[in-house]
Amino acid sequence: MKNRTPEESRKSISRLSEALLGKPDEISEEEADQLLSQAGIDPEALNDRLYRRLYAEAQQFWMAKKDLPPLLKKALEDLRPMSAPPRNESELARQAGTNVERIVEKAKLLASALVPESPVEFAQSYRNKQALDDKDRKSLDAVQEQLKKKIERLKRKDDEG
Amino acid sequence: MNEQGHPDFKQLTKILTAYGLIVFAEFSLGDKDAVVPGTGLSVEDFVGKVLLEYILGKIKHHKSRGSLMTILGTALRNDIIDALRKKSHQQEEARASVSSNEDSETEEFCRPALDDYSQDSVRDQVSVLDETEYRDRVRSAFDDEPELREVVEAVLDLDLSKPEEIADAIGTSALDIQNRKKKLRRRLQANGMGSLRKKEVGDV
Repeated sequence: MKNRTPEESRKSISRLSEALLGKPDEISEEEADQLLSQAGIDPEALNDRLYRRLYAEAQQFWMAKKDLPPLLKKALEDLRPMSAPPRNESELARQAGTNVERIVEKAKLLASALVPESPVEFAQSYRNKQALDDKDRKSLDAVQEQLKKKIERLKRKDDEG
Repeated sequence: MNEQGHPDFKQLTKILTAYGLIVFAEFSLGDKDAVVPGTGLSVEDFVGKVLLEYILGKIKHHKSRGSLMTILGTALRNDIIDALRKKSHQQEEARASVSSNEDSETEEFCRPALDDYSQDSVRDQVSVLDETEYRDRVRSAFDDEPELREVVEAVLDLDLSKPEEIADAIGTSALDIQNRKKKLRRRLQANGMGSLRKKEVGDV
């Protein structure tokens, strides 16, 4: 390979990387969520940290009694943490809405964790118990059927939701 | 973008950070707490710096030069590579300041942003910009998955870059190539891409 300047080498490697791994705008928000989650990064916490960094920058403008650059203002609005006190009614409504959405999402996650994906199979250890007569076995079979149906019902509900 | 042409910063932050994690993985910097050795700079630091430069007008976005995400992503990638290139092996908690990218040409604004680092001795530099080594690391990272290896070979051996060209060469659709690139990214972030070797005296 011919001798290259660092700039040329960097461009060449970046070109290969782009062809193989794509540009950042090929990453959808959904994929970004997955990549962040895979790395153990909480997007909300990430926004909070960036907000603090930008807020410190904004303070310099405020201290100098200068207007904030429009993009800095927009970034602070976008990244304002949900935990920050609401400044007006619409912000209060937005925060409340987001909090409710978050609770519903968590409830859904919990429900799907409780309801198994595959059909339920029971280990029928009572089948081999000598002390049980046919009547007992029938009662236990009926309980097993009831449980199966209940789980299937929950699963259908979860899938519809 | 809203009516004033301002971007959604939550979306920008999320996607740029995800992209930064990919670049870190390309250069063997693994998990979320990874930093460029000797600088103490994490993916988040680089993302914060690039966003701040854009917010303060040091990086300007012209539509003719690509999407905002691509322009900021290129600046982010170049900053990470430059930090790696100039990394010192002395431990530093954080960088005091960064130089600005005042010009905003897609490639020009991406000129080294970390000039304030001292140059290491040649022996101490890792071979970040060694293209042969980069190619070797890519090949070995994806060698065990035929679908991914096909894309790697089309890019490295046939010098193809557009999804349509790669798709034609391996007999599939451009959409399938996009999906394979997604797999490459996920796989890269999970497993990394091999170790950078130390650069020996005389290496370019």
